[in-house]
Amino acid sequence: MTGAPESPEPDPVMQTALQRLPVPDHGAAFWSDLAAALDAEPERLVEPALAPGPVSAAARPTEVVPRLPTAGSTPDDPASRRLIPEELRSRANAALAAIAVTAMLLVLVAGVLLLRAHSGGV
Amino acid sequence: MSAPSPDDELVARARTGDRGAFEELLRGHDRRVRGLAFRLVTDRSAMDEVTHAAYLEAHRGLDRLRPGRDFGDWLYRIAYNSCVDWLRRTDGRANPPPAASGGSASEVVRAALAALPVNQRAAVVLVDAEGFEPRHAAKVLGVAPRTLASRLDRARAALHRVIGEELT
Repeated sequence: MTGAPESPEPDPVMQTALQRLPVPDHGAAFWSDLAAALDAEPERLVEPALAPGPVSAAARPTEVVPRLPTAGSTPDDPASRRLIPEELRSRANAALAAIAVTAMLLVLVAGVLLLRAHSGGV
Repeated sequence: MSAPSPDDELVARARTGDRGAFEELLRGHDRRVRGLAFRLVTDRSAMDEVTHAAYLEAHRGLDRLRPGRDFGDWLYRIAYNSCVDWLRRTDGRANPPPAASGGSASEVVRAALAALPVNQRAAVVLVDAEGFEPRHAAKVLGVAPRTLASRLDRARAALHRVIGEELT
């Protein structure tokens, strides 16, 4: 299988055909609606990287292409971004705590057994 | 290191809350964003909807744009994601295009585009309609150049079949 070349040549037939689909302008209210929506957005904070002085690694901006919210989520609702829903969180925390206590007990018992075996062998 | 783009100063101002600078950025790239969006969702009101969502998302994410990264490329990527989300939500059927056969030239092209998978549609729109270099289009879409070339190849083959029959 040869596959497509990495840098394909322009295709004049396609270019001409796609020009036959003219791109319409926005609806009359588009820019005013957008301005109103931007007005409703929370106030922007000044970018920390623009402030004078060294920028810590933690404050350095990382590039993320924002994903749009999918149906069923609310963009400004922090709850929609949580991995574990509120109602499951206390149960999840309790399970984690139980696992941690069990692990500590196992380490303790193993330590005692090792010590006994060691002192018994000497 | 790449030369500073004319957008860099506007981006810096927009980050401090300068709404005029942000709108200037949007208007500077709006024609290409519309071109991409309209040819992906193939409907004017859907184009406005996805563009509106993309511009709001860009406003929210402006602080996460890495310094030196091209604002336009970043915005096209957001617009592309917005179109993909819209198509997923509506299953691409909210505004079915007219049947290819017997329509005007623009209807034939519109229907032929709408029949393509969205990733192939984006490849052919960016390269053949918007004039992006294939490597640049690959960067905008976040895929390897070979992947872009393969999608472009398949999209062109499919469009040649339909458009060739209808428009020649």
